[in-house]
Amino acid sequence: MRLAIAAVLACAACAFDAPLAQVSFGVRAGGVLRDASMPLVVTTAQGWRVTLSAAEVSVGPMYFRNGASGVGTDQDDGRVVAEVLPAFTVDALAPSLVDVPGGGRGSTEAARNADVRLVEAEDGAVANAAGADVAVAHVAGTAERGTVRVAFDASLTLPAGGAGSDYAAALSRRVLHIPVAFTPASGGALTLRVDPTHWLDAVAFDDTGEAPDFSARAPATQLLAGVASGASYVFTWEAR
Amino acid sequence: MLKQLQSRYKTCRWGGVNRSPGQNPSERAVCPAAVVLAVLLAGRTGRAQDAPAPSDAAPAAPAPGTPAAEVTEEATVRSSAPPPRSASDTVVRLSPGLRAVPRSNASDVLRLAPGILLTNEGGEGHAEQVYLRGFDAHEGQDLEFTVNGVPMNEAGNPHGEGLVDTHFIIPELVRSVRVLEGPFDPHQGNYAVAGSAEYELGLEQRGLSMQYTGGSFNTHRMLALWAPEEGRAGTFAGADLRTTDGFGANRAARLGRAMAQWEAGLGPSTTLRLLATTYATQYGSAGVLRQDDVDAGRVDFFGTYDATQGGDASRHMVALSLEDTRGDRTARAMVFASLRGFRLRENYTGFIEDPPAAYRSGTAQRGDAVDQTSTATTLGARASLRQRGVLGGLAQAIEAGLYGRFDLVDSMQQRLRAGTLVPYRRDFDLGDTLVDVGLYADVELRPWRWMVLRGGVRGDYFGYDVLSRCDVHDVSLGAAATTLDALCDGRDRSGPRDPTARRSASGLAVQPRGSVSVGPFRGVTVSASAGTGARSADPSYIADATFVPFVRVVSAEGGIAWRREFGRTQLVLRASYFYTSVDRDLVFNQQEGRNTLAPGTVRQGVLVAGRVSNRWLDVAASATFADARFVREAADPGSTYFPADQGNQVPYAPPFVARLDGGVHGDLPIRVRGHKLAGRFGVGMTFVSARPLPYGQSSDPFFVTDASAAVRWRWIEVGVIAQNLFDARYQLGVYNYVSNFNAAASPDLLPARHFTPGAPLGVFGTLTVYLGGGAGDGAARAR
Repeated sequence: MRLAIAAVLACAACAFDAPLAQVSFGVRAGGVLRDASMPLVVTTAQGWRVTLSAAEVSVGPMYFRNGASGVGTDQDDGRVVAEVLPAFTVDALAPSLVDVPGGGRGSTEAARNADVRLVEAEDGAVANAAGADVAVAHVAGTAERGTVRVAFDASLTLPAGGAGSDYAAALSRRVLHIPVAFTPASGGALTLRVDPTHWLDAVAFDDTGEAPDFSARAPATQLLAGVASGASYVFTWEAR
Repeated sequence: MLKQLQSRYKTCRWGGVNRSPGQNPSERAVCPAAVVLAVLLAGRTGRAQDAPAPSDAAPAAPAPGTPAAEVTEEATVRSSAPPPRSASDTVVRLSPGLRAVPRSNASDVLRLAPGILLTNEGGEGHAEQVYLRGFDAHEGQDLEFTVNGVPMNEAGNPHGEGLVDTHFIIPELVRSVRVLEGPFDPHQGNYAVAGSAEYELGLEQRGLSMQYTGGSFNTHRMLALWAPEEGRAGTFAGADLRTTDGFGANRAARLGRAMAQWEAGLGPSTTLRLLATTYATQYGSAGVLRQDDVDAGRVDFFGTYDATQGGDASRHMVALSLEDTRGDRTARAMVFASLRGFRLRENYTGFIEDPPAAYRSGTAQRGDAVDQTSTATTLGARASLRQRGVLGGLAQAIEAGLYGRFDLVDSMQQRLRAGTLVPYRRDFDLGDTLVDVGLYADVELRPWRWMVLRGGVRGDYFGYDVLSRCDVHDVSLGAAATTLDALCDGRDRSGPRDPTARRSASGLAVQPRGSVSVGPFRGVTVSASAGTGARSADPSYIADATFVPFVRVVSAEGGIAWRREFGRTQLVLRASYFYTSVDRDLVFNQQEGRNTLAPGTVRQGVLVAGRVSNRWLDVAASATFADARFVREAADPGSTYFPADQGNQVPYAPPFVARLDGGVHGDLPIRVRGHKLAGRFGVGMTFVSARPLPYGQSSDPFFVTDASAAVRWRWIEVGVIAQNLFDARYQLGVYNYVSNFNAAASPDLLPARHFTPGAPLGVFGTLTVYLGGGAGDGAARAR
């Protein structure tokens, strides 16, 4: 009788696929790796030499899918296998990592692309600059080309330029198809580094030296193109 | 020519009778073919009893009022009763002992068959989901259901093709049920993929009985049953009314139903039966809950997210049948008609399926609730002719039959704004004209007294004429592909058009089926069965014109049964191995709120069952192990809606199910005013193992016990029923998918555990008054 019971239990056990574990993991975020004692100076695609004094972005939630990163909608990127739901603000100029409260969770399946949502900041540097629940990013500094010097201090609000539909706003806050390669595991940590190097690549600074009005459609859209570029977000995974 | 055949037939000496000395082997080879023809002609050469299929413990009841088959001097035939079609062919007549086991509805009777699990995610009036032998048969899509020969599966139901709602049946009027697990009988028609369930109605308690039931959850039920004391056994009537608040939030239900059958003799050999039923219900549904929300205390275990969920159902049916037995020939004919109303509102996913879209303003999701409605008119007929004969001193039979069914169905699925009954989108709106014409031949041959060959072939023609009344969604205009939030619009990207579209399709399924039974040898019978079955396609997929409109299943089973009598106690033990292949399966899709296409599947497993019964005891027990897996390479990628990474196991169907039904009844050693007290006690126990879920997850196992007891004195009986006697808190239906029931929060897009809870402890009292019909000194006699 015992043998029969053992056989039944063994059969029932072997009947199942290998289960996927549900795991929680830590999340840390920081700016691009650099010498923090020196200002970050970049040259944009339009030849402006920009010195950034502030570069912050508010993100969350973030989803990680199991499909190969490609084009099209998020549905083409596969199924969500990991996620970080809390919203938080990243100082892209500060290379030191900050823990994200709440962390992330997922199943033990390989993630291959990320979907980062830009969100209006409730607090933190972006909220301090633009007010709570107003902007998704804040960037300030100077841009120089030849003898022209433009000082700017911009807060990015969505939809870019204040026009457009709610749907356009919903679409514009999504940064899709960011390549990642990690399998969530308990005790591991996911690191996000935000690189603002190319945030201003598309921005057309005025040769008159007047700062762009980033509440207008064109400058806002140009700034959004940089902030919402997948290349600005780099994920790495550290196993326990 | 006919005489020659009969002559040839008579020279085939089977069944322990020696072969003719001059007969050569080639002549023997001709014999089986000759037998088939000869049996047709042998009506006057011999007569045999055409007994109904036996059960595992009790013989199947003939249809109420069926005249006893004639047994003449010539019928010196052994083993005349046909054996089961397979080792798992279960015919259970509800004995007094098994009637003592609590059953809340007619579907519960199915638990007497091995391996069956019933769940209900939709509320009291919602059809039960049936799982058996690795099949998630949903609300009947893979099981052919009939009641007194009338089909119950609903063609074109928007919740699932082939849905079966048995709630129109008063459970006390179920006299027997036959469950044949697998397509092994040519009588089995559309939907017999996992098998079939045949309900036979009847009422053995003669006279008038009236019962009141009341108890937990403010439940009240009034029941009246009547059968003439001196009239034909097939005449009866019953009606009941029921109301309950349900065992948790939004589970209130009300129903009313009536069933009546009149039986009359038309001459000495012909019986007429007229069956009429009516039923209507309205019910609330709590829907599914997320496990993490319950764990965090955001919602109660018996709570709900959306109190607008629920449904309505009605069914009105008439059936007229004639049976004529003359000599060795039995002819049966039946016509039936039914009207069915159906509405179901459910929300499985919260706020996932209505993302922001370019063609509408606002980013807030409006909610995923579906409102499925349909009205269906069904007309149909079936007829058969069975000819019995004797060959080699052994009973043989051949039968031919036909079946026709015509359904007119209007079905629609809408999406509702969260928390309201306001529709904002129409997923589909169909007018279906569906036809199923079946034809079969079935033979029963006994080459030797220890072997029976049964089987034949069945063909079914499925015809579809589907009018999609809303064939234009999300109109895309111009080169920029600007889309409009327009439904059923009279234009599309190419210009003006009619918003409707009509599609038609047809398919023909030829299904050979057969079984061989060898024995009994010292009570042991070995059997093997094989066959193919078919399920008609969902009309909503016909609109896609993606495949021939039926699903094919191939099934095989081998088994052994042992029957032994110890005095007045009968013991039956059975075991079998089964294998089933389905070329294109359906799996429940929470996003759609209905069954959608999936790859092919293979199932195999074993079952063991036993039953011991005598005059005062009846205990049936079974255990079934089944392994069900997808065969992805067999699927047409274009028709596969089931993501490839959801796992290789067919989700939801339990690998292991064990069930015990037991009851005792009889006189008690107590007299009151000179009359004996009679009592009965019944218990039902179910164990369900962990079930595979999508994405490599599994559910928790559960064990539930129900019990009842009653004492009768003369014409009055009092009883108590305990549902979930030990108040086990368990998850009856378990799912794993993505949902978001908090529209304001960042959506959690990871698959999460969802469940519908099993009912908690419920205690109900019954008071029954018997007028006439043998009331006096015991339930045993009364039954």
